[in-house]
Amino acid sequence: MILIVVVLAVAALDVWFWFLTNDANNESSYLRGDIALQMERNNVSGDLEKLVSDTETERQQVDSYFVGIDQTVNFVEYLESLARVAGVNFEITSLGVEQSEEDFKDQIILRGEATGTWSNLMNFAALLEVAPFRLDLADFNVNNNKEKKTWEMAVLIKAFQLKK
Amino acid sequence: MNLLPQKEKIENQKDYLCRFLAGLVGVIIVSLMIGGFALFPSYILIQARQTELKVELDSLNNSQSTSGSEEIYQLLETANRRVDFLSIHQGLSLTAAVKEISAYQPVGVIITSLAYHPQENASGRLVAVVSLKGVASNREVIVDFVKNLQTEPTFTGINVPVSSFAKDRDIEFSLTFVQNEE
Repeated sequence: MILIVVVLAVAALDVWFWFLTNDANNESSYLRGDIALQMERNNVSGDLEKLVSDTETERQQVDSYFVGIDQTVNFVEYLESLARVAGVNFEITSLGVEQSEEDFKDQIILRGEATGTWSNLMNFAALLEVAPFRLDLADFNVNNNKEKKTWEMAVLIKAFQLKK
Repeated sequence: MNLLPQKEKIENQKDYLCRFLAGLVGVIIVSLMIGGFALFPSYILIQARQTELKVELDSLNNSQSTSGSEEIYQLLETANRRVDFLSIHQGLSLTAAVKEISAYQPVGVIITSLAYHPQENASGRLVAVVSLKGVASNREVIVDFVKNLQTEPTFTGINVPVSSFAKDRDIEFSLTFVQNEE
């Protein structure tokens, strides 16, 4: 009887010990899996970091097509400088910023009037179209003022500003 | 031939059975103990390896958190959205339209007003509605002007109000058409 109890006790001890070893083994396997996953994540993260540093110049180039944060005055002065280059009298009649639903940009809405010769006004329009900004000429009207013997232009320009 | 009395025979059989069972239990106990001792080094090794793996995983987790991968994802996603936004830039050009109009303008037609208004058409494509006003020396030059504009594939829907043909000389005319993306 005693021997049977001893056998049962040793057998139970063995089984418990076996489960303990098995659990430890399983946990080690999970840990190995987690490590492999984490290493893969770190590799991807490393690749992305490299991508970020490699594309620094290109991303700055992309951002340069938007009016920078607090660069509205510079943008307006740039448009005025284009008008001077084209040889037209350009006057901004209204300027506003419209909040956009998209999270990275607001819309600058600028209305302006210009006077000059036909070719100068067209040169100004061409300069606006090739300006290194994402600009939309949303509305454009040009009329011949016979009395003043000049052409008058009214334009609605939409530009996009990066949000803070 | 077994000459032992029956009672002694039974006792001998019991003794034999007891010895056999004791031996069997002994073998089982020894086997179990050997098995237990054999598992012990494996258990120790696995525990040690497990500790090493935990340390390695913690180290990997820390290195990942310091790299700020969330910020990187956001940075790249934002850049991607900006590129997408810029890449859908309209293919319409005011100066291209003016250039074409000037090229097709016959002698005898003077343009006095031009309006250019980009907008989305019914199918969601971006087009520009162009309205022209001018003075033509006679009806024929207006017709020639319209025919010339019709040869330009990006111009469609050219419309001249009939009233433009009321007079026969120094006619103040207007026309509208749509500039499509190339």
